[in-house]
Amino acid sequence: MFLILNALNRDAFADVLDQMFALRARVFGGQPGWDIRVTKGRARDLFDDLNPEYVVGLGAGGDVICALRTLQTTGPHVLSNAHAALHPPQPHLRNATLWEWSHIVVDKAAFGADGAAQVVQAICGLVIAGLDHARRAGMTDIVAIIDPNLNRILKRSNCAPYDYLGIVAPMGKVSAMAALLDCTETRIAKLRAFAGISGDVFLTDAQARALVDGGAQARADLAQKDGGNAEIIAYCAAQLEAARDDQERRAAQRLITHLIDKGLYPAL
Amino acid sequence: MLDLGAAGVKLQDFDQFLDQIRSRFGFDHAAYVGCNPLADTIQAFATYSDDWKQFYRSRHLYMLDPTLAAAMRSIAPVDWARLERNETFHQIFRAASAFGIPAQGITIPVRGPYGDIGMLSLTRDCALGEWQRCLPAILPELQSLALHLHDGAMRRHNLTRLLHRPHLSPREAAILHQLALGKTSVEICHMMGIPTPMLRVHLRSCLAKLSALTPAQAVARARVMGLLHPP
Repeated sequence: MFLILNALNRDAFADVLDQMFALRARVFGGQPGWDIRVTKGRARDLFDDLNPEYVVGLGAGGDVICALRTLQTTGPHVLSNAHAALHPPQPHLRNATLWEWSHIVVDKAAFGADGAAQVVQAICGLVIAGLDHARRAGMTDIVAIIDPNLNRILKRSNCAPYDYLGIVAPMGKVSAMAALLDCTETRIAKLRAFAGISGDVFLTDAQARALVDGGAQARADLAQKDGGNAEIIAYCAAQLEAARDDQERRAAQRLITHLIDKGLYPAL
Repeated sequence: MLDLGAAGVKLQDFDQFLDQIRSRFGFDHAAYVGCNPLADTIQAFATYSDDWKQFYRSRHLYMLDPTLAAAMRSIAPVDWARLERNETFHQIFRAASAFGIPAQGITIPVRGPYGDIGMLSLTRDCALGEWQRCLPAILPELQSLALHLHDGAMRRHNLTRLLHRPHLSPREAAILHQLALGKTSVEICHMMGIPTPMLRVHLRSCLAKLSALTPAQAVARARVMGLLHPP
């Protein structure tokens, strides 16, 4: 389920925001050549200081499993930044009903080595939430900065971008692209049909708070119930935090899955 | 609608523009506040009564107004129903109701390229169901009008007017050139090999950059500025 973080509720969900920045650091920080500044395990850039909105996906345990950032294209945004310009260089689009999506991130490690289908499901849910929120705000289009893998997923999910503005300045080994999506009920409906997602995908602030707090409490309760488990939980968290690449993250995730099966770690 | 992108726009034109929004969409009141950090100015126009404006200014309610505080930090429209009903909210709207201003409204924020922010606020005293029904269909147009209003207000200052000189991408210029030649949307899409939504998003960008409300205005303005060229 999804939550919109903005000026009205950001302060009440500082912990969720922090989780999102940590997720970014884990996912983007290890990419060779990517210009991502990671400080104390958190990845932020200057656009995070411009009061953007965030669409955040929460797992059953209240953890952040996916997220994206939204900015108006009438003001400063990633594609208006010379350092992330489109190739070939050209003036960016400026449009009152066009929002920009950037830093689209999914915690693949949370779904384990065999979780490819769940990753696709999470992405579908994230895009549905993002498009629905944008449509209700009066937006007609989105320009999304995506990588080739996400582009493939969107195409396979009946959500192919209607066109592309070009290649965003090469980001290490991966060239991101600026993809255009229209915020129509038709696009959202097609994506819902593909993913089998119906109903409201949004949590109210109260529901989100309860989910996040419940997950944290469950982990705390389990740790208190058996002091030894607290050490196991802390060890696993340290393994995930220290993972330098997908292989190490998957190994840490396999360990957690095994421990869950043994009842030594809270179910995610 | 009044064209705030035309030369020679006067102060009263902004009040008239707000009045046009109010009557066209059936709102009770429309108000705009714009902050220009480059010029270090704040501009405000509103259809409220002079008495309320005087009351609001004299008591510096703009420092407390939760509709502005929330919208300044938002990118999406802020429906006042979502604002926290705290003492500040009640203080402002108790006073406002004495001047016939309802507590039902929406503030549409617009971010400019140079740290400037504009906020278009609209109020209407009607049943909640009617309010919720009318908004979705008109929000896209209100967003575009809010941007037109904000850009017009920012251009009142010399420096921001200079900085606002439009820069069209090759595709945007090519689309306007074809429109100037009298081509239809279908013809342009076919000639340029682009889908209709691509044409539409670029045309909207042209209108925004040229502060135009219609494609014809955009073409005329681009021609005067020497921005039209063949593809």
